Amino acid sequence: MGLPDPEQVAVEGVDIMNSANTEPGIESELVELDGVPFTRLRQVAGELLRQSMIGVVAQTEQVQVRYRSSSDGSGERID
Amino acid sequence: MAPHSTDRTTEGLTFHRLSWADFDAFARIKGDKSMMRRLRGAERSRRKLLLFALLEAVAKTPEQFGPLPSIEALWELLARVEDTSPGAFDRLLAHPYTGTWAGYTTRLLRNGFDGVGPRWAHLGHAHAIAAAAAIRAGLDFAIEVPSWRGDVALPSLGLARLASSSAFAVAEVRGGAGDYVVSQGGRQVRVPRPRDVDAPGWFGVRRVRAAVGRERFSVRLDDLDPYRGLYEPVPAQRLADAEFVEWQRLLEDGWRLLVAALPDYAQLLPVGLDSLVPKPNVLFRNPSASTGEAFGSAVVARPTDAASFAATLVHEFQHIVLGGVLHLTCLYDDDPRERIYVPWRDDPRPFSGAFQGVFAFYGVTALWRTLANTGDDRLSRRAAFEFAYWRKQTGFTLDALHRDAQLTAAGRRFLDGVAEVFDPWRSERIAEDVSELAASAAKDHRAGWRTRHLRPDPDVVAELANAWLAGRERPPLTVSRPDLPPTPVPDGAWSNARADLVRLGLAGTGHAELSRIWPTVPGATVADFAYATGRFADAANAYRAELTETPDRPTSLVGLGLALAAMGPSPAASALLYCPELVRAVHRRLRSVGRAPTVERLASWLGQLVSW
Repeated sequence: MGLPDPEQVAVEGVDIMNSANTEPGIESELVELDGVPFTRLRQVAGELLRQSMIGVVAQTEQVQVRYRSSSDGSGERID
Repeated sequence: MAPHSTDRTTEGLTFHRLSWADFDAFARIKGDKSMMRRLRGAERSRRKLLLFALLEAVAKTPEQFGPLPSIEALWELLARVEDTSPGAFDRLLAHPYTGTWAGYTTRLLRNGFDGVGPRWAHLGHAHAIAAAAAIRAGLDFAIEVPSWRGDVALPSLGLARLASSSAFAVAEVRGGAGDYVVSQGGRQVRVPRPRDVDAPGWFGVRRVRAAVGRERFSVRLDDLDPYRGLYEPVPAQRLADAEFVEWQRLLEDGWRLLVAALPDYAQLLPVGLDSLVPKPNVLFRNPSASTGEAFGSAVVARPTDAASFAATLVHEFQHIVLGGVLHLTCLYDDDPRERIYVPWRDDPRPFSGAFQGVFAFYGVTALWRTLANTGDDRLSRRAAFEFAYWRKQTGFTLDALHRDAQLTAAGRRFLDGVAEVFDPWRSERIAEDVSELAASAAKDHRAGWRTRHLRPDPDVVAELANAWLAGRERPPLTVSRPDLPPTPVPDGAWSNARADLVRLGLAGTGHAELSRIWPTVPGATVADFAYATGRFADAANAYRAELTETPDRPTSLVGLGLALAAMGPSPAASALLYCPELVRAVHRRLRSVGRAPTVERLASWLGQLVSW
């Protein structure tokens, strides 16, 4: 079909993510780590990162087991 | 929502922000690529945090990795990947099932429940992620990874099948300079180049692709990743080649429709939808589902046709967008009560599910609205019906949510934005016959829901039964329509066969063809077929016969109401469509004392009280 190989192009959003704009809006509880290499987190893991991590983990723990992966789905979400 | 604080930058870190401009645009289906990229960036941060939390937990009790290499070995390989090719690791972070895996394994550790297989095999998927990233980065490396029934999954790349007899075991991934081998117990599988093709012992993750002019869309059809399901891990289930070809054809045709109908919206899909989990076609249905943890993915049964596929893509993309927004802000307070009528399921839903569904079907309504004006008569008529049906039904639930106290201020603002776009659609003109069909289909589903999920007040039922037994000409005026909370446990089964037959009729299937295929529609009866082909007197007689046999059957009660209503105003039809649960409850009571009239006669009597 002549399409570029999606595996060879940049991952959407990487290096062009910039949410540090000054427009008033919603400040989330999610710390921005897009510019931080994952393996450096051990060095930068301060209180701010920990608080954000605790929040994300707590949110994840609360996801309900309403559907099984083997089901055919019912047009709804697990959130 | 966190307060603004300068302290937040003392570690050189900031928080993800969602501007009100982005927020409002998402609500109005006016997103652009940069907005989607911002959501994606937030998802990567989220996954980094979850992965970091998992590895920290393992670091405290290293034995949790079982027979797999130590956490230091894992950190070392990940660091090499990031030093060599940061994009390779980002691809794995962006992979939707990295999110599902991280969520599932977090719950496995934190909530202490037993998962599918040993815990080390789930935690060890981190090694598989590292191996896949290292292959993408072209590193020289070796690392041990878990295998499940002899299958070694390398996320986003494919799966090596080593035919081991062990349920869970350890395999090795080794190689360099682009040449890699997966081995276990003397068996070896070479990872081919390119990775997405099949080779002896190797199944590559395949893609389906479509292009319309400059609008290109490519999505993985992932039938391999163990964490591609909605919740717990599932084994690989390779799609047959013929099925894959059919998916490819459907995507090409569906993409063409979508680009033509919603060109601005279509531009967003390549940014936010990476992967589909294919499931077998379900006759007369197009089920799909997704989870907020797998941002960028949806589980989709092979659609019936291109228009259905386009609708499914929009539906799931709406879920993806809303899932991303919900990871940044709270739109409603938690309320697990299953209490809200939704048209897309047969049971009452909690607020969160209803909110998700409204947003998804809002997008679907937008698609059908445009497809209704394509000029293709066959598609237009069907699309007009779907537009009329979904605007009525989605609007019904949207209004209910908009009034609900669970909404936060942000949630109310979001629905204000939805309503601003949606409300003008409600008065757009549709061919009268199609509009009536859609209105009847909506009444059908809502009445069925009432029959099975509303329980009339027993005192009201007793009063009405006593009035009937006393021979009163009219029910007592003191009795009002019940408005009790619904119960999630259905009283009786429901069949969507009637709606399926109506849709088949609209899809261009003539009556002759419909008379041939209707018995293949699950749950369809002679009465449903008569109704769907406009023979309402025949349908009413057939439903009466069904009710003589089984007076409690919800589909027959509602069917009789629909058939009677189609023939003209009727108190019985009003009762059977607007308070069928009351008709059934009173009839049951009268049966229990051996003095029950026909359902229709009782409905006519009760219908004197119904004014709509």
